[in-house]
Amino acid sequence: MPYAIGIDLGTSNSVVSVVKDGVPTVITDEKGNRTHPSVVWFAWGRQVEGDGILVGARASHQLLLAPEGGVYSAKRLIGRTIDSIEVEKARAAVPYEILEGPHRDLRIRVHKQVYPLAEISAHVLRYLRGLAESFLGEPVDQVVITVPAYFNDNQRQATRDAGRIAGMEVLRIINEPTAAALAYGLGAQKDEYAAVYDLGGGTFDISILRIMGDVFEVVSTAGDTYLGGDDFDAVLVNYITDRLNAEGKKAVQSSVGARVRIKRAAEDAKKKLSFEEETTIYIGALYRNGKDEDQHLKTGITRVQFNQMVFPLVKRTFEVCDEALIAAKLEPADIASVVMVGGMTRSLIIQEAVDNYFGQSPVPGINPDEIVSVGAAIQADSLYGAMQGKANPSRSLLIDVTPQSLGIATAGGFVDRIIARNTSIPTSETKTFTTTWDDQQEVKIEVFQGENRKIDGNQKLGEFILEGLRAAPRGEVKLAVSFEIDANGIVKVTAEDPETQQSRSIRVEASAGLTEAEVEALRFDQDEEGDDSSAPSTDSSDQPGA
Amino acid sequence: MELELRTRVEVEAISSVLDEVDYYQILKLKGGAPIPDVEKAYAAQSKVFHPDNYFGVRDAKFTRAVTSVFKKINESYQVLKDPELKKMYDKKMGFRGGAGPDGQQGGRRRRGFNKAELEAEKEAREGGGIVSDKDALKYWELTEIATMNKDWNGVVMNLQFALNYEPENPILKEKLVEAKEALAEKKGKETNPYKIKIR
Repeated sequence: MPYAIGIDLGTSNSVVSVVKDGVPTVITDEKGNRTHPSVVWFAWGRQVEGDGILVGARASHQLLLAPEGGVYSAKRLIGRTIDSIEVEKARAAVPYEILEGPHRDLRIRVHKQVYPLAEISAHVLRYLRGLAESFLGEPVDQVVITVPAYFNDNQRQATRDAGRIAGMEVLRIINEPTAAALAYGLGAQKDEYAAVYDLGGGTFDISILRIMGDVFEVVSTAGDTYLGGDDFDAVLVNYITDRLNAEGKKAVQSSVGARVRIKRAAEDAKKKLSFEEETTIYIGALYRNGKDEDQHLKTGITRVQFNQMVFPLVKRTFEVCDEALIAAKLEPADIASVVMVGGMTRSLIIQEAVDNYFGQSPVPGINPDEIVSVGAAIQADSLYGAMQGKANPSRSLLIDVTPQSLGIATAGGFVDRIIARNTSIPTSETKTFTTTWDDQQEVKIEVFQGENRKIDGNQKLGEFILEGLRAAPRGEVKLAVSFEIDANGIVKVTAEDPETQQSRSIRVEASAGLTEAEVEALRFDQDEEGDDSSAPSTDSSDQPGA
Repeated sequence: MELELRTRVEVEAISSVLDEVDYYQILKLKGGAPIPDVEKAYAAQSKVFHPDNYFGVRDAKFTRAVTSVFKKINESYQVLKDPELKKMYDKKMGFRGGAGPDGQQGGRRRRGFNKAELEAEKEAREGGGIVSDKDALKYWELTEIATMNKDWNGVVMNLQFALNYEPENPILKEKLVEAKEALAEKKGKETNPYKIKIR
């Protein structure tokens, strides 16, 4: 019987799992790695499959040797627009160039070739699919992919597009904390409130769930898609570059190779500080002096110093927790279990802070890197089973919510809310529009996502025009527009003319995304699938970070 | 996936009477049932009527029907699990605290009061009592934001909208006069405050 897989497409690392013979299993690469760096490395310009593209551990290793061909942290940019502050942050940190695409989407340039972000993620997804196919010994076409709960419509659509470009049918996009809760609570017949604190490489989410047996209801969710482990690294990167600047070595940071090595050193130091009171940051042969001699960087840092530097970031996560608990009308003491997800939650400062906030230790025995992928695999199995009509009375059911409010632009620069955040999905609301002028022929509707009552501060999803309206005095022509959020958290808008009963479906053509035609054109050739093993082999002694 | 005839008939039957069933009925509960029962019923009914149970059914009409049933189940749950909203609902519908047979009489014949109305009423109670109509309240909130931003165009407009719903409200009238004065001082600076442009 065919399988559907679950993929946690992470900012730094990705994980793929499958439910086989009723048991969720994390799939490894040929070296036994269970997490795979979300890194794509191009040997040269756009090439045919298997010819000079590396993904995962080998790409991560290659990044040190030839950083200009590498793309990492693509998830921080996917589904964003050029004016996003994330772009500014990324430009300072990544070796590749970030450009604007034709539909206000972002693209990146590597070796003079321009790639949509979704295509980069598609390479990661195809690689993981290849691992699953080797493990299962058969082709895999169905997938559930996880995204941060606070991802907006653009980011979800772009992720789904990536899955399609990778040649798979995306059964569902689910939220990472929800997936984690599913993996945690499945089969245990719990009746409790659980909180999932998910601090990943690039995003932070908190979800409050009510678990009732095999029904997992998300009560509220909140997040910050600009906050993650990367930001903790960045604090240390700044610390290191400050040391270099003090030594008058500013030029060093302009080298892509040096930047990558400084980032690695920062990640290492961060991890060590969870176990040691102080550590030494040492980067050998970082630059050369005037006499062409290798120079090293060596500096020390204590845990106390580090904790002080990252305190604002830690505090921010609990402001978001407050928000989620208030929305759920709960207190920290109402939470029976705290599930920690994301590599960053291994950090001592986070563990202590969570302990303090919720007044209890997190649920032990959970692997924060793998649990999301396991949950995705369980959901994939469950949906795939339902699709095949298999009777399974103990099948789990996820009832998630929309993380952000949906609204339309209205008079005075305000947003009129149509679907409030934390509404269970799927859901829909219908709103009637009337003409405001005599003989008005069209109405333009702009759709926004966010919490601000003013337009600024909300993300514009797109706009559409209802045209060809009947000539009539104002107020006489009415149009029913229905706003629907499906179980993927993706928005669909349909308009109907009640007079003619003519309905037309309008996909909110993502103002920052790919068109249907582009996705189709980018789809990887089915005949060449899962062929990454033929890529040039490199000695891969490098191990991915958490 | 093949759909059982029984399921199809049940879903279509319920979806056709959604406007006539109250929040307890859709959860298959007695009127006024306590919150723990509501929670249990919600979990049980979701396991039958959540659209994911019919994932892969390629029948748009059925999917729409089952989605609309689930939406109502969910709306019911959102109201009845909230002690305050539940109390308001039970009172309006004539349900007494706890399930009682006579609680059923009053409510069942009337159409249900919906969640949005109850929430607006609750919000209005908490909102200082300047306005009570739900639409007026919305514009009053927008007025407050606009005032904070010193957006006098916005203030005037939203007050006018609010007054459409509560024409006799003295506070709104008074604020409108003040805002118009403020606007007169700034006159001419902003040209077109309308974002939905009509060509």
